[in-house]
Amino acid sequence: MELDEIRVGETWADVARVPESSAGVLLGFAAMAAMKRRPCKVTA
Amino acid sequence: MTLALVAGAFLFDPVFAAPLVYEGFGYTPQETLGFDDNGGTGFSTPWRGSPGLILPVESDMTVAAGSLAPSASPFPSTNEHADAGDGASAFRTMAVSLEMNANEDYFVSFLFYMQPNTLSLLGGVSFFPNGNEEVFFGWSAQSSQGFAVSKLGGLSSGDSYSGLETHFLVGKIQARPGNMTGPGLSDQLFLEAYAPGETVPANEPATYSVVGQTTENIFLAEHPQHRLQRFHGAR
Repeated sequence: MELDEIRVGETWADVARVPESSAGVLLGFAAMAAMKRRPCKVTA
Repeated sequence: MTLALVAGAFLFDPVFAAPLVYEGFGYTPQETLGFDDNGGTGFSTPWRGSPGLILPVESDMTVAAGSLAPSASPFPSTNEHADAGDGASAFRTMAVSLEMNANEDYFVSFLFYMQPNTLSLLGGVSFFPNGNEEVFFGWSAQSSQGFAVSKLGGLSSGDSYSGLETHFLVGKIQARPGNMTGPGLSDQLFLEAYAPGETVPANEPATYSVVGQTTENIFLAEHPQHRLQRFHGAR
């Protein structure tokens, strides 16, 4: 018998939560950055 | 380890809630699981070979190279795992208390593999307080072959297993207060086994494949021991 990665916790998420993709996290940061970098208004 | 972190930067950023206990068996391969193996988190002792934590672990409970996690698994893992021979078992005391006489739920998960030509009578993880096994999650052929839960020796089986693939097992202890106070307050055990490629839900499923019901209240010691075991023949 072979065993690995034993976890004990108080919630389902403690032991079996599917990790979030960093791609989604990065996209979120990119979106936030894009919102902050609005082009400056050029005045005549 | 470094490799895993690099791969993680490209594909996944595993964010887990902090479990009470974690053991990835990141020890020296080919060695017997033993007194020096004190890694993981949430334990107050290293691995031992008896409930009283006196005897060393049997020589056929070893650390093996490689992770049981499939290569595409998003779950973080060490590069080693535990390999138990026939009759081997190991014990380790948890540092935290499980309040088993209150309205509390606890969850346990682990990766499990047993070669089909060596399927033993029993294999898995137990909570083993006070010298007595009270809760078991794993695989058993004691009544009928299948993934099983056991409380105070009462076995409930379900979900057959071919022994060909590593499965991800998630068990639940539903603790309720009182003792023999009726079905409404009885403790129950639940288990779900996920084959490779099978989706593990982000939230707890409404139903489980294996349910161990009891009209008794399971009482665990405040610091239950964590036991790995594999038995062939009568235990």
